[in-house]
Amino acid sequence: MNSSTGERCDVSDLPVNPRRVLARLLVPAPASDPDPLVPVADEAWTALRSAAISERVVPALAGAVADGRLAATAEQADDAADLWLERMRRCLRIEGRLLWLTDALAQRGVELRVLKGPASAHLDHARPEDRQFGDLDVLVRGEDLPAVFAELEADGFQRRFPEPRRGFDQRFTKSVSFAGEVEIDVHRTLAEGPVGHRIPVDDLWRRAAPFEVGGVEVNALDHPERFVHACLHTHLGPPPARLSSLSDVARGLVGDVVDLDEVARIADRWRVGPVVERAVATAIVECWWPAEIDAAWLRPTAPSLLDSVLIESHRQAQVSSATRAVLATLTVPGLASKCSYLTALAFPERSYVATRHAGQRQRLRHAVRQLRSATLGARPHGGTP
Amino acid sequence: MSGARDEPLDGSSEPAPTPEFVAALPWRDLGDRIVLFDRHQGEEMILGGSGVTVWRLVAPRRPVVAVIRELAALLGDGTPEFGEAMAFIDELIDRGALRRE
Repeated sequence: MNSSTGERCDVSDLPVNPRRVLARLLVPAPASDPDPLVPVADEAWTALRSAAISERVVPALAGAVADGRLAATAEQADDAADLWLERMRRCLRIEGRLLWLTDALAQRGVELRVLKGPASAHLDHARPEDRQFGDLDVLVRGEDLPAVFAELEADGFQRRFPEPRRGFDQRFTKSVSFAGEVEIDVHRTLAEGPVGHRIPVDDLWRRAAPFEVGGVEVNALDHPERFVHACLHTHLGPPPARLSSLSDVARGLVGDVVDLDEVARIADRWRVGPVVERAVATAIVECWWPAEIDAAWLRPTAPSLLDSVLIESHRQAQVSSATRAVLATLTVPGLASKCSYLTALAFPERSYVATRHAGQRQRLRHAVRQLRSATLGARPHGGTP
Repeated sequence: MSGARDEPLDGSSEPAPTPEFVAALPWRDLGDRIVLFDRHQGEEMILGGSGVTVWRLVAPRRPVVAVIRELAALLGDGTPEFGEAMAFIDELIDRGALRRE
């Protein structure tokens, strides 16, 4: 398959890698229309639909079937349409909660920015039907977190994990998850730990991109910041990135809306340039790219040793949470904040420890084991800080 | 949206007496089906057939009298299809998806 020309997927790939096929369905169809493809066999269809579900790109599969890029039997087409409908029902329920939260927070004078799924669906994809999402992510200012938490808890949402120490959320956390009718992640910033502390959170509030949901105007991050966020989300996690996230990067590249020079300026200011470059290169290699994309994006510059360590601590699943916490102190600004951050994670409150370990002593033993394992190169146990 | 009035169906110069307006709802157009989230009931509605036609006319939030006029031109005033579409508009009003100003 020659992805540089954006030609249609080759169904012969299906038994080998359904993800590869789906990735090529994330970007617009080419102008030239090759010969129609024969419907895939049932076994291949099962693999394709399973991958579409797990990668959260059911709309790409259903859309390709609907517009003929991917041939399907009548039964497969019905299956794809039903899967799509179910995902969209879920998305609308989430958007219903977004409208509720927007209204509730407006009454408290709290501003929010919509992140990821809903924002990308309405602003970055050709139409919102093309992007599915499974939860609601919103950004609020650190000082507003308690008001948002109170609003959610008053409506029956339950916080998944307690705060390590009082004040940690407002100063250091990336996001706090709430379980309820839908999952709502309340963000203070865009990435966690080692790389995330580099982002000046005030930058996230300087401007916004409005969009409408059900007649109500809500705000997302502006295009360049949204694109950088998509890159962070795509690259700062164990690979491979979920295709729905990759789709946000790919859409930014082909949509001709994102000012890539502005993206580069923001990435430099946030010191996340290597992350953005690699996320873009990944999207280009995995999906398809138009001829006008600057080929320089495919040749990411070599990151510094420090950047490499920080980035890989996000991407390597075997890196322990304790190691990440230690690395994160390098990027937490200010000596006093570094001390507070480490203290909060080394000596959290009892309620926080109870959700993870039998007690404070067990937690410290666990951390020491993790750090020793990291130092000696052995595979540590997983866990969150 | 408020205060707008539309031309009457019969083409006379008198404005329509009780224009209805769309209360916008989140929705997705899936081709042969449309799914929308009824915020009043807290549930999704799945539209097919004439419901799809009606919603595509209604969703841009035009006054419903204009939508009805377009439906009449599209389906033929007095046809069973037009009656079906009108019944669906009534249902949307009952559910609060459309409202009268």
